[in-house]
Amino acid sequence: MSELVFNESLIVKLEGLSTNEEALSLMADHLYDKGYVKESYKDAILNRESEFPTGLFTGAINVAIPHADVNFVKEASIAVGILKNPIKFRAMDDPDKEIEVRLIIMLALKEAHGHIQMLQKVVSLIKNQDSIKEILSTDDLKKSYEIISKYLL
Amino acid sequence: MKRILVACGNGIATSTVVAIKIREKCEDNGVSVSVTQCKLLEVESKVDDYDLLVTTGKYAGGTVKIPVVGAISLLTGYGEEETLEEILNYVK
Repeated sequence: MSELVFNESLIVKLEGLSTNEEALSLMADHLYDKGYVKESYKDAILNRESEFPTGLFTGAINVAIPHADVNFVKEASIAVGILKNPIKFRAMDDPDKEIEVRLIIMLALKEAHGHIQMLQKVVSLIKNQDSIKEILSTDDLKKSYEIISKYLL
Repeated sequence: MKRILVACGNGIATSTVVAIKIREKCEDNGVSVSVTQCKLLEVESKVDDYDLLVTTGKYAGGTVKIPVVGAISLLTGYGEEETLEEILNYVK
């Protein structure tokens, strides 16, 4: 079972965006530019989000975990988007509910029921509001990477 | 042995996490279960073979005859234990 690629170059600082479509497109483009996903991945992400949204209401700082089917992915990887201003996503468990998200963890998964360890690590990060606050509080991408890496690597 | 169907949008990410947590909870309590993952869109065609449906996303298909448990708490942490207990109670 292969693990997911994650490194500092896969952290994206997003500002001045108004819709989740914009944020998701930018992040999908980033993964495509790096050769980790196919061109069709972006549309798959946008379609999936509109039908089955991925916003997670955690209480304080909300997170979105967009992802699409494995056939759009070339190399399993994770891109993290840090939003300067919150953007509305719809909630996974209640698509009629809009929540404000500041952290996007975009998953490019290659195995259908694999990546178990990485997924569990992502969830442990999502549950840790203190770390998420730290990630969002710094402009220093290197610092953000260190905090995120503690959980994901 | 009870059969649990875990469904999420793509059937690959959140359902994987939930399936693992369910298996662990059941194992810790000595309960044998089979856990299968699928996409939300596949639920209607599969659900008749299962005893419990667990979802992270919202299931918006037709009515199902088995109990349904929403398991988003297993991703966010809030209410996770209660949800796992609820699932356990349905299958033990």
